[in-house]
Amino acid sequence: MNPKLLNDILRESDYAAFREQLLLRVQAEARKRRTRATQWIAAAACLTLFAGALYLNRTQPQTLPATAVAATKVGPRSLIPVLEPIPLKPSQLLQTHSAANIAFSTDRQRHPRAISDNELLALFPRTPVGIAATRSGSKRLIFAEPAHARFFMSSD
Amino acid sequence: MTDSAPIAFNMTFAERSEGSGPSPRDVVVPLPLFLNLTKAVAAGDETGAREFFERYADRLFRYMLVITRGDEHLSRDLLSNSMLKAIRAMRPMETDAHIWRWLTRIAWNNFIDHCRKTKRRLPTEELPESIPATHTDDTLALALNECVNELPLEEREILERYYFEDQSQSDVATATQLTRKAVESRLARIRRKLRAAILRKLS
Repeated sequence: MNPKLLNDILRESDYAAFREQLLLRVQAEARKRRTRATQWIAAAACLTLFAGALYLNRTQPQTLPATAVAATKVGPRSLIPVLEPIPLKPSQLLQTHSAANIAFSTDRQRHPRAISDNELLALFPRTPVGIAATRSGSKRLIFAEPAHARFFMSSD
Repeated sequence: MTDSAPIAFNMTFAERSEGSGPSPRDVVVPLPLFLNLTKAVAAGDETGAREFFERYADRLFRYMLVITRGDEHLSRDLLSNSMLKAIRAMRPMETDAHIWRWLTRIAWNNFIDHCRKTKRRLPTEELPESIPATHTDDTLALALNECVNELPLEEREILERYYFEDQSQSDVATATQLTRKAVESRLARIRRKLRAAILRKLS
């Protein structure tokens, strides 16, 4: 069989145009395949770089980044506001003493107001309390409950 | 007619083609050629894809014509699908036989899918392996041989001088006492006639 004759026979009519179009499509498909392969390789490379950077970041010791020290020129002292301390006046000074030096004195010029027996009892509205007269003539406030006595009275 | 040796018109077309040189199937090519070619196509090389197309497109089209029984439109569709699928799925292959077997399987599967979609009667052959690689070329060669033998004598002379004796159109024109333009147009007419005849024989 003569391949050239067979090919020429089959290429009659519009087969030649169809063949040319198909060749373009085949080449376009090859290009797409190359683009897909390139994209996969680029993605793999980025992933590898990222993983490598993460690994290096974890293994290297943490160091403080070098910082630039700003050096500025300082002007004359007179231009800089400076705070100077001033001494206090004697009246502003507070002298303190230990507790043993403190004395209390009673001011007998002031008379405290006296209250009646009823006013005294009224001070304990919900507490069972009474006033008892002793043989010496003095009066004593008596609480029915010992707990109330401990609460209201001081133990002296 | 010239004084050169007479052309043996009484020999059949198949006999005339014997001894005209080794067939393309007998040519031994270096193995790395096909491996490099398929690797290039797999890598998306456009030049490799063109080379692959030039090597296999026409051969695959002839294969499709045989299995579709001369349905040219269907053959073109299947050829398009098969070539594009082949480019997408290309992998390195070492021999021409391996590549051709792989291609015909793709083409066959496309044809079976088409038959199922269109409810066309499935072919009696079950697998492409049952159709040897040489089968389609032999089928076409037989059909072409028969069609050429049915040509009128003058047309056969022009055809054989140009295609089997490798004469140029000018030489053929001189031998047949025609103008070169006339030889060119007659060759085109003969090819169209043979084309229609072959497709009829295949169907």
